[in-house]
Amino acid sequence: MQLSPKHQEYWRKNLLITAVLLGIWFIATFVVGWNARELNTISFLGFPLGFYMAAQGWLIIYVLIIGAYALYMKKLDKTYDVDEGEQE
Amino acid sequence: MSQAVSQSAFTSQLKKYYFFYTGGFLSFLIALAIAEQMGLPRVWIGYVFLAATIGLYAGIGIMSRTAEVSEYYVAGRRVPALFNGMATGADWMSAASFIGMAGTLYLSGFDGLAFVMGWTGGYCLVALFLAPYLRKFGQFTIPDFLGARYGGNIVRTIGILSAIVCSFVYVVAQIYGVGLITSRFTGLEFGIGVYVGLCGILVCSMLGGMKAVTWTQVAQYIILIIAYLTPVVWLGLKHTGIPCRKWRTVRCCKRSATWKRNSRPIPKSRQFAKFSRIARTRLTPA
Repeated sequence: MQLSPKHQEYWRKNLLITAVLLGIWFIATFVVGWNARELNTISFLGFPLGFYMAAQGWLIIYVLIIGAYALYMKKLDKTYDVDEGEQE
Repeated sequence: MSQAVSQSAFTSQLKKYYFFYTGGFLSFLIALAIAEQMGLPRVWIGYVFLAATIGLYAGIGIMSRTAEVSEYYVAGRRVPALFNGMATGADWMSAASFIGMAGTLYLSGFDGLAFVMGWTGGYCLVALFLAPYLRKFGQFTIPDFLGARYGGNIVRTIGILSAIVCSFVYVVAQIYGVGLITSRFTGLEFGIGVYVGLCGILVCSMLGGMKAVTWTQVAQYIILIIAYLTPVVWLGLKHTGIPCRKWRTVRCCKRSATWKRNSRPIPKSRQFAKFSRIARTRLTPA
């Protein structure tokens, strides 16, 4: 199937959002995780920050990433008219 | 268009079913509480609860039996997002996390958080890279998708191997949990408990495949979320006294002292002693 420019634009946006979210994911997971020992000297809500990130912070970030992706793609599908109809 | 209409009718019907189901579950709990007040022994409460929930799951499993391939593997591709999320959430909170997670965190503390992070962070990767395309490619399994996407049996084989390794580790934990729970509740031997539990799973999932699993998982989700929230809310009340100060019974205001004591690493020599003491108190039949 020959892809129309519209399709290619859709795919570019798709790749962009994936890359951005993956970047956030990488920074949150590896950069913060790698420096957890140093972060533990900072206190956040009464917990050492590195510990807090592992116990709750990361999970919150992950859920936000997935939520953002789902919402964005839903909107994108609607704009480019490739959605599958009302899926609720 | 008629597809969309039938889909929304399907969704609203589902919402109605599970709304009534939640009501039924809550009244079942109230009935059990009344029975307890009237003197039903605790062991029997355990039996009744176990039998009722397993019967329910088996009922859903048998009701959603199917012989169609797409129904069996992907529940007909028409599970609404909300319900699919509930089913996935129930997988999160199943035996492995319920028993295994609590034990891991208790035993290894900070290091145990790696598991929570691993599977939630991994879910991000699945959501970004696999799930949307798996659906668009119209395949049933991830190895199938990888084979179709990258064209080749090597990729497919790698997919199959990693799927087997992942699910093997997961299933070992799950089956151990199943055996533990069954033997705890019925007094059967652990080995037999495993088989009894597995038979229950078989009834729930074999006849209806993914369709049955999804709908039982949604039912489980409702039970699990209540079971998780109740102790958390209760502990919160007891510790913080919000919203009613009268309910606060635990008074350890020097949180920093408690925190320090609890976060002190347990010496290696004492770790096992602590665990086995707990295991003894938990596993000895009453």
